[in-house]
Amino acid sequence: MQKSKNIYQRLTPMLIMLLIFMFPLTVSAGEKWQGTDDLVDSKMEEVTGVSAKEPLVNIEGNLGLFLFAAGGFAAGAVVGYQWHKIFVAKAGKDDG
Amino acid sequence: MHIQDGFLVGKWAVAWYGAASVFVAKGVYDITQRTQKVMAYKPLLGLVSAAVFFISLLPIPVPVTGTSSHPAGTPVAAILVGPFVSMVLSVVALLLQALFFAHGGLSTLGANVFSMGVVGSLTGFGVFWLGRKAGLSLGIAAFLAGAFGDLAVYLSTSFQLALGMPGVHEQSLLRAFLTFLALFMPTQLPLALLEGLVTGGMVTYIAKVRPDILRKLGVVEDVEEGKN
Repeated sequence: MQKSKNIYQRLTPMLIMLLIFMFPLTVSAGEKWQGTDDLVDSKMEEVTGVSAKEPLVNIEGNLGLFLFAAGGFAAGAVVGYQWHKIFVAKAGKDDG
Repeated sequence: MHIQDGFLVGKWAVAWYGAASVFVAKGVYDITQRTQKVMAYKPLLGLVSAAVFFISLLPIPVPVTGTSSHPAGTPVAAILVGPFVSMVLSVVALLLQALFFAHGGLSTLGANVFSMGVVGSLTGFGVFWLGRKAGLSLGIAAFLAGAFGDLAVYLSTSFQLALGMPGVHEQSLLRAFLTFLALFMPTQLPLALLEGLVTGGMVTYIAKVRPDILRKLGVVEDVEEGKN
């Protein structure tokens, strides 16, 4: 118990520093947050000359925003509902 | 872990489907068994499946590299609902992402399920199990499981890409593997730490609020409960 408490105490400042440095740097890190999947797509095209096929639903512009927002909302609603059901309404009870 | 359609030659796309389906079938069987055994399993499954879908779709920016990438979510799922069930959840998440979110593809679904679902879950669960056997606390074991599970997913994706590259090219398997790994790792290393933190935090929280669920699922032993 004491050992793991010490590990937590050592890890916490490192993680706080990591988080502090992550977000202020966003300002100077560039305009485009290219995904690693896109980097791989480009590299694959460069090495093999083969491009990725068009996705089934080509989400461009606001359609992409809409789908990501809707997907995030749906997932959040499910997580929130079940979280409340398991961890709030039945907190401390033993009916697993 | 979102390999796009067209980036794996046919034989490898089929092979990954075959390999993943064996594990997924065991996961479906486990779901039927566990829902009968543990009352809270169904709502927990709903929670974890939505979380895996969301976590694995979320592009998290990493300022040091100026790029973004996705955590996996399967290590925490493997600890909470079981490694094979976690693989079933990855099928659902990756299928939705391929169909509606332009992430991954249908021909590469088997490969993506194998890396994120099979490798992520087994590594996460294995590291957690080993950590507990070594006497680590629940939180630390889960932290390591999340971090190593995340990295293992991208290691296997790099391997799959190198192995299944289409067309004629002069790169050796090792060189191609290292090329893809070098693209993933700078972004993925900080994200692995973040995934470790989320995994450790979530498991620790559940152990405090609903230890009965973890006990009945075999995540913690009776005697250990309350120690963590």
